[in-house]
Amino acid sequence: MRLIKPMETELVTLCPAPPGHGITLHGIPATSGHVMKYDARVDLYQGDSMVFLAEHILAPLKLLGIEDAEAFGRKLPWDFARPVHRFAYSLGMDTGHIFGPSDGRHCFEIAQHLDCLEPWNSERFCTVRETVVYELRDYGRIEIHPAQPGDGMHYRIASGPYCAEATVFVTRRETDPKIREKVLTSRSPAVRGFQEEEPLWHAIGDFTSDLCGIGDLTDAVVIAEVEQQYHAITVGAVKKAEERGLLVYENTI
Amino acid sequence: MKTLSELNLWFPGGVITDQLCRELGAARGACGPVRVFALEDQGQILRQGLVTPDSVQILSVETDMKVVNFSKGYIRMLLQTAEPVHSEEICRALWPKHPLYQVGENAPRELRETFLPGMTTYRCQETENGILIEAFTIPGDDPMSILEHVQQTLASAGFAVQTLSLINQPLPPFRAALDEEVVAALVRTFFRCYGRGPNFEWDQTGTLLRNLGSVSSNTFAIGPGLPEAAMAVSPDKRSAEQMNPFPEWYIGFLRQLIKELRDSPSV
Repeated sequence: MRLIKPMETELVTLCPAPPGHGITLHGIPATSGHVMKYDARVDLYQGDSMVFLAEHILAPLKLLGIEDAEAFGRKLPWDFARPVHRFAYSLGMDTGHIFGPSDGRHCFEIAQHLDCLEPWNSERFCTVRETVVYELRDYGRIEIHPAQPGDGMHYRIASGPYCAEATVFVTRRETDPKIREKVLTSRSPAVRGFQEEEPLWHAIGDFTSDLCGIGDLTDAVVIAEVEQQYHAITVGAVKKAEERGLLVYENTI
Repeated sequence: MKTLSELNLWFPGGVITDQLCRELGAARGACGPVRVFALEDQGQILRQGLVTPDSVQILSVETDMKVVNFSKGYIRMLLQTAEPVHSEEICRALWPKHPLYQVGENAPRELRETFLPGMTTYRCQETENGILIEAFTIPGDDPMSILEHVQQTLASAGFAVQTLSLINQPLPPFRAALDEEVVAALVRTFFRCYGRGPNFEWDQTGTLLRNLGSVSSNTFAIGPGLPEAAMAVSPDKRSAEQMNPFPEWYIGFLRQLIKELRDSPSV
């Protein structure tokens, strides 16, 4: 899909951007070079500006196949129980730079404004040249295996006895709307802990944000065992793959 | 943009040693770009005017490597009841509640530690004159609404409140406004040492930063340790006592931070 007109939701404003622009959050490009913090959440920075919880806006954008957009958060009342609100307040920033609802879901409302989108499937393709393994003690372990164009992102994410498994598409094909809704409306481990399956479905959105939004992946098989602060391993794996030249793009595999 | 002229490091008095001062490129009390002081001496040093508004103050405390430049507010109240009550009962009745997040006494510890630092929390103890209630407040709280909240909460929990009165001049929450260059130096140091940016968190007990922060806006605390050491609720004293407060890797981190601050154009 691609944005054809501005979209206003309770939490964000999205504006169309030209092809090749990529996704920017308050003007900050969503790339690994702009990641400042990646543990329980992903924060981006550029100069003296920052955005917080980038994964909660990147997940719905990527699950809708949107490749180019400018996103802006809306100012909401402070809720200092949320660590990200304390963090932003400490730095003198406002809540407009924090993405996502208070209940720990992704910005799921974006998927309810389909009138602002039109079908458009890019032919972009990116996978890993060889299996990438990234592991950090107390954070988890991730394996990213190569896949073929159109295979999509297949995830098997586990934490202890709980597991979520699904395939989603960020290009070429559309993600099953029921899976998309389940991922986008599941609450995060920061809110739910890891005593149930729900946060692992949320993690599928987070993984898509980090691997396909911060990183460029479109097709891969991803197997992970995670602890609470799993963005350390997803963004860590993206950085490792980029630094070692392990990403392959269209027609080069 | 301010011109930052000096850097002061503050350690608990018991851990300042000549070796530590040498490693940090300073001598205790000596004038120069980096000075090391005992936290316990801050009143005297402030009275002597040794801290200037253009300086950077780094307080080494147990913060689990989080940067702390914000202190919660502080209010003391005295509660008298018709029937004798235990402070634990009062504390339980005043335990914070949140419409979305698990913050109860029985919630998983990691969730409590995530959310409680940003909520108004209470500590209670029995005294000769009644129950002393200490409230650690957040931006937006005002003393009278806190007093009213405590009164209503205890009444609805069935306590026969006789009197509830403020017994100190309430201290509002405090935020030291770090210059962009200090934040940038912190970010660079964390990236060099850990490959990612720092975490900013709040001081729970609301007293540490205030004195120094009132003189120099570039005041923050950082240090190794466990988060519960700084929690106003249910501190794990045993683990705090077992900690080695300033291990070698932390001193290495400080050395890098000093270098980054020195390399900043205005420091």
